[in-house]
Amino acid sequence: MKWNPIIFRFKLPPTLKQLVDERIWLVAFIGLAGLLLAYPLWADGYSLNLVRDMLIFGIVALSLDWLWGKGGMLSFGHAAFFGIGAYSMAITSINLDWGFSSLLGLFASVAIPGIIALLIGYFLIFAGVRGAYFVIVTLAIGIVSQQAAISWVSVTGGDSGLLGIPPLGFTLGDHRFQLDNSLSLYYVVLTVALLSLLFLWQLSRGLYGNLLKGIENNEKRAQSLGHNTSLHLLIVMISSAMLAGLAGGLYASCTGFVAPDLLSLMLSTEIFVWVAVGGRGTLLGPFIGAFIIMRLQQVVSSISTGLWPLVIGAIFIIIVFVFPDGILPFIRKFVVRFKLLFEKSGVKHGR
Amino acid sequence: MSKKINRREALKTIGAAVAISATSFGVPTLLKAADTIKIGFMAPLTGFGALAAPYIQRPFELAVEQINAQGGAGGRKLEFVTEDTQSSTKGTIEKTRMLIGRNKVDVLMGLIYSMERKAALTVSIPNNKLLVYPTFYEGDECNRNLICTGQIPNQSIDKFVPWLMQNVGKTVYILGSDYLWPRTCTEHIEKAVKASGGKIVGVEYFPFGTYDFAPALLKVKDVNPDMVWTMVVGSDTSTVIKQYRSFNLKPQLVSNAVDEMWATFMPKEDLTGIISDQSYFMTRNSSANSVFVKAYQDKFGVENGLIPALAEAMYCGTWLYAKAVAKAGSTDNEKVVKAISQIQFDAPQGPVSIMACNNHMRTNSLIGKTREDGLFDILADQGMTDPNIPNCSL
Repeated sequence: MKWNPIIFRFKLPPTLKQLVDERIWLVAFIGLAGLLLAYPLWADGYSLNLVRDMLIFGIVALSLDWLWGKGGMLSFGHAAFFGIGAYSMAITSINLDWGFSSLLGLFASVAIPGIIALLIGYFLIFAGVRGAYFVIVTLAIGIVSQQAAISWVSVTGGDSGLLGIPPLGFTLGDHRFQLDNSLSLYYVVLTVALLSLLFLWQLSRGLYGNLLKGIENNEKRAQSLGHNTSLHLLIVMISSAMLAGLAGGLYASCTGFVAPDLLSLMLSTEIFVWVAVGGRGTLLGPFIGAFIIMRLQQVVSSISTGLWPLVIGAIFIIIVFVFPDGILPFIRKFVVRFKLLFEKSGVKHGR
Repeated sequence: MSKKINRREALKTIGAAVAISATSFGVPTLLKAADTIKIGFMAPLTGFGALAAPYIQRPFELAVEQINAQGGAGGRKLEFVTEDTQSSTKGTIEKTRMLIGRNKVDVLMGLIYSMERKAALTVSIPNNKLLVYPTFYEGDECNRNLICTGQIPNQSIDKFVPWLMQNVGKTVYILGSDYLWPRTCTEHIEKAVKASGGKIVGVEYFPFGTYDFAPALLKVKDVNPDMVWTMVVGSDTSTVIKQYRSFNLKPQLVSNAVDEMWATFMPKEDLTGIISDQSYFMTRNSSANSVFVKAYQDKFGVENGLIPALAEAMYCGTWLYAKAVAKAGSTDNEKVVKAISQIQFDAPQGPVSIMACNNHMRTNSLIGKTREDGLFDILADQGMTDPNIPNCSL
C-alpha cells in the first residue's frame, strides 16, 4: 500500500471482540449488499421504489449514527440537514435552466447543509456545547428550518412545497442522459449507500476511529494528549450533515417533490429511532433499523389504520427490553459468548 | 361394511370436489374483479390531522354504503381500502404508491392538507389515476386527473365580500397564518374589496404556534376597522379568537374558514357571532339536506353527527364519481372525467356539478353566523358559484 494516510492505518492489535465485530460486520454487509444487488431480479417496480426510499432513509440514519454513535453527539434535528439538502436540490434544479442543473443541485444538496453545519457547529462545538445542550440546540435548528420552509413562500413554495424536480441527469449538446427509471435510480442509491457505509466503516476502524472513541470516553484526556477535539467533532458534524444532505438530494430527485415536513421534528425522531433500534455506533445497524421499522410501520398501518401507533409503540418497548443496545450489538454479544465458550484456548485477547 | 372405499371411487370423489370448488370459488372471484370498483381512500388518521380525518372518513363511508344500497355505480359495487397518510408527505407518497402498485385501486379519494394532495399527485399523475379531493384550498390545481369538490378562494370570497360591504362595513383588517392559503385568499379579498368600494386597512401573517397576538390586536384597536377577517388556522385559531374576545374588540369577526368543527376544540361563547362563508352549513334548510343529516346521524350517532363543509364535500365527491362511472360505463380515467362534467348531483348544499374546464365543483356560497351551540344561522344562501382558475382550460 503506497497511499496510506494516518486515518486509515490500523495500528493496535485487534482484540477478540473487535475481531468478532469485524467478522460479523463483514458477513452482514456482504450478505445484505448481495441481496440488495440481486433484488431487482425478482422485484416489481413498486417494491423497487419502496426499497430505494428505505435505502435513502438508511443513509440519513447512517449519517446520524456517524455523529451520534462515533462522535458521541446526538442531533435531534437531523431531518433539518436532510430537508435542507432536499430543498437545495429542488430549488437549484427547478430554477436553473442548464444542462447540468440537476447535477449542480446534487452538489448543492451536499454543500449547503455542510456550510450550515460548519456555521452552527463552529459556534456550538468551540463554545463547548455538548451533551443535552447540544441535543436541545439541534432540536431548535430543526424547528427553525421547518418554519423557514413554511413561511418563505416565494422560494420554498410554502406549506405545499415544490413540485417538478427534474430527474438526475445532464444534457450535453443534443445528447440527454437521464436517470428516470426505477432500476437505474435504485442502483444509484444503492451504490451511494454501500460506498458511504464502507467509507465510514473504514474510517472508524482506523486511528481516527480510536481518536473519536477517546473523545467520546473522556474529551479532557484526549485534549491533554494534544488533540484539537473540537475541530474533530466539527469535522464529524459537517460530514454527517453533508451525508444527510446528499440523501435529501437523492430523495428529492427520486420523488420529484419536497415539502416542509421533510424537515420536521417527527422525521428527526424517526431517524433517531432507526439508529437506536439498529444499534448505535454500528453503522450497518441504522440501515437494518430503518428497514425493519419502516416496513413494520407500513404493514401494521395497513392492518389497523387507527391503532397502529399504539402497536408500533409496544413493539419499541419490547425491542428496548430485549435488545437494549440495538439489534446488531445483540447479535454480536451472542456470537462473542458463543466463541468464548468454544474457543477458550487459541486466541489471546485483552491487552 | 356395506360399502367399500376403493381408490377409483375416492379419486372420482376428490376430482368432483375439486371441480365443484373450482367453479364455486374460482369463477366468482374472476367475475368479482370486474364486478367491483376499488377505491383507495386516504386520510391523515394519525398525526396532527387526526382530529380532522373523521370528517372525511365518515361521509365517505356513508356515501359508499348508500351507493351500494342502490345497486352500486352502474351495477358495480364499490369496495374500498383505507390508508393512513400519517399527516406527512413521506407517508402519503408511500401509501399512494401502495394503493396504486399493490392494491390496484381504480380511483383515489380523500386527503385534507395541500401537502398531502401535492404528494399524492406526484405519484397518481404519472400512473394516470384519478384523485377526488374534498378540502377547500388555494385553488391553483389544473389537472385532468384531479377532481376538487371544496371551495376555492373565488367561490368563498367573490359573493361574500359585496355582502359584507353592504351589511357590515367598508374597512377590513386581515389576520392570517403564514402560509399559502391565507396569502392567496388575501389577494382575492383585496380585489373584491376594491371592486365594491371598500378598503383593506391592515394585513398581518403569523407563524404557526404563535402564542401572543396582542401586538396585532392592539393595532386593530387603534385602526378600529369595521371588520377583522381571520384566516388563522389550526390550534392557533382558538388562541387568536380567545385573545380577541379578552381584548373586548368591537369590530365584527369574519372568516372563510370557520365551520362547525371549530366548536369541538374551543369555547362556544368565544365563537358566537362570527360570520363565515362556506359551501355548506349543517343547518341549511332543504329536503336533500335533512335526509342527509338524518342518514349521517343514524349511522354515526348524534355525538359524532357534526357535519362541516369538508364532510359534505367528501360526500359530494364520492357520489359524483359513482354517477360518472355509471354514465361512462367504465372506470377508465378519460371516460370518467368526460362524464363527470355532464352529470349533476342533488347535494345537501344544492345541485352540484363539475366544471369541465378545470375539474373543480360548482359550490354554494352560504353566509352563516355562529350561534351559541356552535352551529350557524344562515344569513344568505347565495347559490352556486363557478370555480375560477385563471389560465386553466382542460
